[in-house]
Amino acid sequence: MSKPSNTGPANKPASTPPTKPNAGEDRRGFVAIAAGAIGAIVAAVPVLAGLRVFADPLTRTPKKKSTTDGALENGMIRVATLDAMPEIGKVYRFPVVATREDKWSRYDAHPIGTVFLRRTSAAERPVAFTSVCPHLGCSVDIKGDVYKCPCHNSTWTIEGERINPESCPSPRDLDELEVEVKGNDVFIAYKRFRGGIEEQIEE
Amino acid sequence: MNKLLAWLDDRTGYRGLMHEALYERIPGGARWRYVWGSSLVFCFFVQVVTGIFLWMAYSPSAQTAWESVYYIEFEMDGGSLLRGIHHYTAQLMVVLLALHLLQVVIDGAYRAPREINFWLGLVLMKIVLGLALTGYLLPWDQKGYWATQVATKIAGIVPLVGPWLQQAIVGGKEYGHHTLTRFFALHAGVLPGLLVAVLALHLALFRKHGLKAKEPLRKPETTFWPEQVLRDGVACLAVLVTVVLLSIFARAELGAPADPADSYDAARPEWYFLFLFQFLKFFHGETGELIGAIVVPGAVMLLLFLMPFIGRSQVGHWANVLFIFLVLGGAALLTGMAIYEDHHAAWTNADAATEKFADVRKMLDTIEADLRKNGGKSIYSGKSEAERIDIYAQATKSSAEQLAIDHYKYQAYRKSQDHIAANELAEGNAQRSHELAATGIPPHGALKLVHDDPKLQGPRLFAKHCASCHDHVDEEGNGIREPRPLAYVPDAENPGQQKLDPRGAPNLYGFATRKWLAGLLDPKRIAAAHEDKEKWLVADAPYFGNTTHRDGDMAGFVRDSLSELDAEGKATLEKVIAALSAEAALPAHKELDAAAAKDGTLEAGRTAIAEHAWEGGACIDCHKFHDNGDLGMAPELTGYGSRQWLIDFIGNPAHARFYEGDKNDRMPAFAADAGNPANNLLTRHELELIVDWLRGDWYRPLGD
Ligand code: FES
Repeated sequence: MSKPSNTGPANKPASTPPTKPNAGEDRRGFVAIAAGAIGAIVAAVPVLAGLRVFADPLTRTPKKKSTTDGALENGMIRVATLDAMPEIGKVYRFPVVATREDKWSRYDAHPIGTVFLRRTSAAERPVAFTSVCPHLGCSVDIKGDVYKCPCHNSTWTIEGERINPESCPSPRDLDELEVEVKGNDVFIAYKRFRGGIEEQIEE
Repeated sequence: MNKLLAWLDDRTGYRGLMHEALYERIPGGARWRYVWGSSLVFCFFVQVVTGIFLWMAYSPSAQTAWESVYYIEFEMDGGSLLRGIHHYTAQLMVVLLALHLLQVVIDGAYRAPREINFWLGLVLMKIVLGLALTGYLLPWDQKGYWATQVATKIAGIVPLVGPWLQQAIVGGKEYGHHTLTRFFALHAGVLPGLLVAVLALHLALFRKHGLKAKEPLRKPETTFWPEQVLRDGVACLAVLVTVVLLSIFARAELGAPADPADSYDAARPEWYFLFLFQFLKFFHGETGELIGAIVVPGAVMLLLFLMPFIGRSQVGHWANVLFIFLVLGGAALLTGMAIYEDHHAAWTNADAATEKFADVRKMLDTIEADLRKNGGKSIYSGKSEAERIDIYAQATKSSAEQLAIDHYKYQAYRKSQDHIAANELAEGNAQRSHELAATGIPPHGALKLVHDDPKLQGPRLFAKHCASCHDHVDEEGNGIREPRPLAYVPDAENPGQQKLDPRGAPNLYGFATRKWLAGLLDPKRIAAAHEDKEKWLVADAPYFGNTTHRDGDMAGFVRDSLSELDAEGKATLEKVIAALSAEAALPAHKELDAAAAKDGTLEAGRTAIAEHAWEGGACIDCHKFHDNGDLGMAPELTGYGSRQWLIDFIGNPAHARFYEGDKNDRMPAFAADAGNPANNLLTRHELELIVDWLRGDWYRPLGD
């Protein structure tokens, strides 16, 4: 340990020895605790204030979704009209168009995915499947009456069920999306799910 | 555990280090006056911690800086507090620096052997000021943007290297992306790095020479830990509590996004640079500025650096103490002056001010009226301000000296009023920009929101393009009312002579509302003219005031046919007003219009417009209204005051749908050439902004 230099003109060597430890032991102990506690507080506060902001993404409740024109209160997105799918039983493919928000930025409506819609009868609401493959996320296609994923050749029936569940790379059937019909307009709740697992878990 | 610590000590010697750090000797015992240095180190610690966390959310570019700061401040949990702490600690640091310097000088702690450490301290001070300056720009709001312009312009007047220096700092000739990236790199990288290095030397030397104890020593020698640490800790706690309270109760500001096209009248540097700003007011011209901005501050810094030499003798020491008091006192005085000049109008009682400046205002009014009336023949014409005051004083037998003094004070008062108004405007704009940003910011950045907002742009465009004839003032007289310049035109009756051309077209505040229309159809008000030609105010004549329409058919009709209506006639007129106003579909009348549609008022009003025979005839005798009447005589009433109607009218008022040909009195066609927009006075976008603003049609947050 280096000795403090006492060469400064005004910094004469201390004439009295440092306080004896036993002289004011109690007081010294108290001062030490107080000093330590205050030191800890003042150091912690700025760190905690920073961590609070850092943790923002973990505690953020998403704002009311989707400001797309024509979207429903609950965030369901208009993808088609009944008129646009006249044939009962036929599979139609529609783009999903929505605004996207990223922190402060709001991007105008643009395609965020596609859905397959099929009417089973004139009265019932159409059935919707997302085109995202439940295996690893490639874009599923419809070939005649069969859904087919070009990446690892998973196939599904027109009802969305795997044709060969044992040998199909896809761990689950096609992911169905919630559909609502208002008048002529068809709305869907567009969601993305985790790929490669049996259970259907929203991302 | 002990074993582990022993092992650690063996490999690192941490115990020795800790001991050295904590058991620094303090001759004369722990004292409160030694806390400044430690609290400054603490401030720096706070700035590093909060700064790094802010960094994680900040994005330096002209399209994202303001936006990301907005997001931190208003969207992120705890963001406002974090930013507040960073903002206020920076300011407190400047204060603590001044106190630390003051104490070092008073105690003579700059003398041998501590000269080098004193110089290091001065360097640290410069670095901290540099951090403050660079940090002020980073939010990229109007305030920081325009205040920093001044600083970089000053860099530009440095002899020889100035322009080069300026461009290097700004990252080009104009402010932009690279100004931000450079300032940010300086603020978060270069300067803190330098500061750490210099601070390490500063502390090392401080340890080497020991603390400069204040004589006489009052108590036995002690060590840094724990007595002095406790005092330092309490000082740091005080700093922290202050900044936290300030952050909560006086949130750090975020002005409107920086707009290079909108010069910012409220621009001032942050308060700790105000003294320099005020000081510069005393210097004019290129050399003056050089002296004020660079030579004098440079000389002060030089004298500070020379203090250890000057202070070798006791007399020199006293000179140093005197000097530091002069510098800090002078800075405080200048800061006070700057604040007084800007804000004293707010501290003056308005009635007292009216009384105090009554004579001056009378003088100014008299001079102005005389100039209006007599033009070039006025005794005040072509005279300087001082001469005018003298002439007036002679004419009224009052004291020219007193008038000159009062006039000076009055100007200062007006200036202060202007600054206060500019501040209020800036605050309003800031709030509006936050409102707009809350809806989501387009990829172009928040400035686009500001530029596309009728509420913000309407008044500016109106003032620029419309206000030389039209007013836009409410019942209380608040709003846009520009002084009308006197215009002379050739006098048709006396060839070769000029005659005064009185301006003054309708006050467009509340255009097409029921209230506005009721006034237009009020015999007393429609043609109220500006009788007092010395002071035209459109408020005296809010409708056809100084236009030829004052003597036109409509004014005649209202005067003759609507002045003595019976109860039934009045009721019909009211329905007509409701129906006509509904044509505009004003957002403010949404509920009124809906109610009127429901209870049949609109239907009845429309029928009355088409069919009711007033004394002087029916509306559709002159106006076209939906399927009735013809164009060409008077403005079309179909869609009167609606968005499209207004766009078309302002675009070309002399069109057959409005005041065809010479029925139009002096109103320019602002966008007559649809095929070639470059020929138009207003772009389509500007026209829409003005119209939307006139109609009160702009985004309102819910619950507003
Ligand atoms: S991704 Fe579709 S089958 Fe693999």
